[in-house]
Amino acid sequence: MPSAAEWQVLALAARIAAAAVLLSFLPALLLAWVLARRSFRGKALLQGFIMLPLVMPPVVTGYLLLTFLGRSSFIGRSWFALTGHHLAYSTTACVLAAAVVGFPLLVEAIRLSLLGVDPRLESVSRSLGRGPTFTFIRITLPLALPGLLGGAVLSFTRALGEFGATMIFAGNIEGETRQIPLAVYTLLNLPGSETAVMRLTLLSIALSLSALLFMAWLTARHRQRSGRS
Amino acid sequence: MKRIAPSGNWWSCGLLLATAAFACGAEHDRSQTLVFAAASLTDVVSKLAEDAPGGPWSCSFGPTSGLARQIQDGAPADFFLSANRHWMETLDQAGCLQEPPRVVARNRLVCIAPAQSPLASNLPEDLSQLLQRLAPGDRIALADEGVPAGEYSRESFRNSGHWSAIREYAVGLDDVRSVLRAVAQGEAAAGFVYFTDARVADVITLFALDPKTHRPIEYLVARLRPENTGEVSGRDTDYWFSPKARQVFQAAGFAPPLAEGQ
Repeated sequence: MPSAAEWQVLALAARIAAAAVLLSFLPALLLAWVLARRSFRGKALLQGFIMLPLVMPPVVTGYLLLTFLGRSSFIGRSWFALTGHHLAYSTTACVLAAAVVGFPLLVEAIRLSLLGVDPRLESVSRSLGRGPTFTFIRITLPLALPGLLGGAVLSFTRALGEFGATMIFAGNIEGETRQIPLAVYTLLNLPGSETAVMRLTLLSIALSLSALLFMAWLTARHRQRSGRS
Repeated sequence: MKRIAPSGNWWSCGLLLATAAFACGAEHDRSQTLVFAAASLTDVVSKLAEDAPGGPWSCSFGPTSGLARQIQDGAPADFFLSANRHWMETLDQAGCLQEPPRVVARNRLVCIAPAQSPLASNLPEDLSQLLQRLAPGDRIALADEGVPAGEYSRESFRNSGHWSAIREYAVGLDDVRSVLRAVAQGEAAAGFVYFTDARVADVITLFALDPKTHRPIEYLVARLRPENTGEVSGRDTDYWFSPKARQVFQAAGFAPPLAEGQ
């Protein structure tokens, strides 16, 4: 069984990852829809830009986050003036780092599943007098659901594994920013911690694997249901 | 109806191919001397490695703890310069050293603040004053637990009875140079680094920690076992104790070892 300290790390990691997915879901849905359904000048550039966090070294992403959202930056100072909290070196920083790094995975999964939705079904709904919003919510989204869930789980697991950007932008604070990779890293800095490292590694694998199995179960259930209807 | 745009799959494939291409043939050339050194030694060791006998030596810098792990796992290095005894002894017990480690320099810990710090108008002279003048939400940057600079600082705070107060503000960073960067950028209101680090960045030094509150900060050097060094011989630890090395260490602000033959 996980110890109290290990539970703290796991719970914090799960909270951060869930918040990161929630934060990025709507923007990702919007961008994925634009990329899947619209053609415009500079679309390849926009897509490349969205993919950047996937191909950039996370340390660089962390450095950029610290530079543009840090305490000495304009956004960082405005945020502090508004809320009285700093972004850098906080749980919020962990969430932002995880959200940015997992964003491309989310957008890409949603985009691909939206591409798989037959636009004629949407046309039928529109021709029957339903508005674009109704059509999107009642026709497009349910059809794209497996992709949405897949993207959410992928970015959730990516958030669980986030290290490079987090180390730079959020630092290593016990109970606030020390999620699984940072906890493993901290243990690696202490001599004779091999057993503790291995325990946490196994727990981390268990958590990520559960998320993936959950996605498989959801997808299977969705298939079954849509097969029946 | 859709214009063809490069999909995310192509980006990923390209990245994978590039990684594979660059990973080939990247093993360290064993004829060149490789030095692993604690992050706080970055400037002095780079300088000494450049003019070392037998051409420039290559260096790898990082937290002593991380480097020691790599050495234990057989990283190809010739010398290790550690920022504390603890990790050097761990390596010695693991049989990674070819000779007993020797103290090459000593250091002190200081508290630093950003050059444009609000603290600058009325400099705090000790920990209690610093804690009084911090604003809510301020952070004190420390090297992580297990990293020598982080261990010395925490030991000192515990012994002076300030740890529980400092803990509220503390943010751990991966090595002492990351602390220096965070403070220089103004991201942390204060930080604890070595005296010698404070001299290489645009920061103000507030006060030094009382050396009596922590173990002596000693840098040790040792030649590594043949599994790490490869077959090439003739790399002598004495270079680190030559008059030239002494002068470079001293110019950077390091104190000399206490006694000979330590």
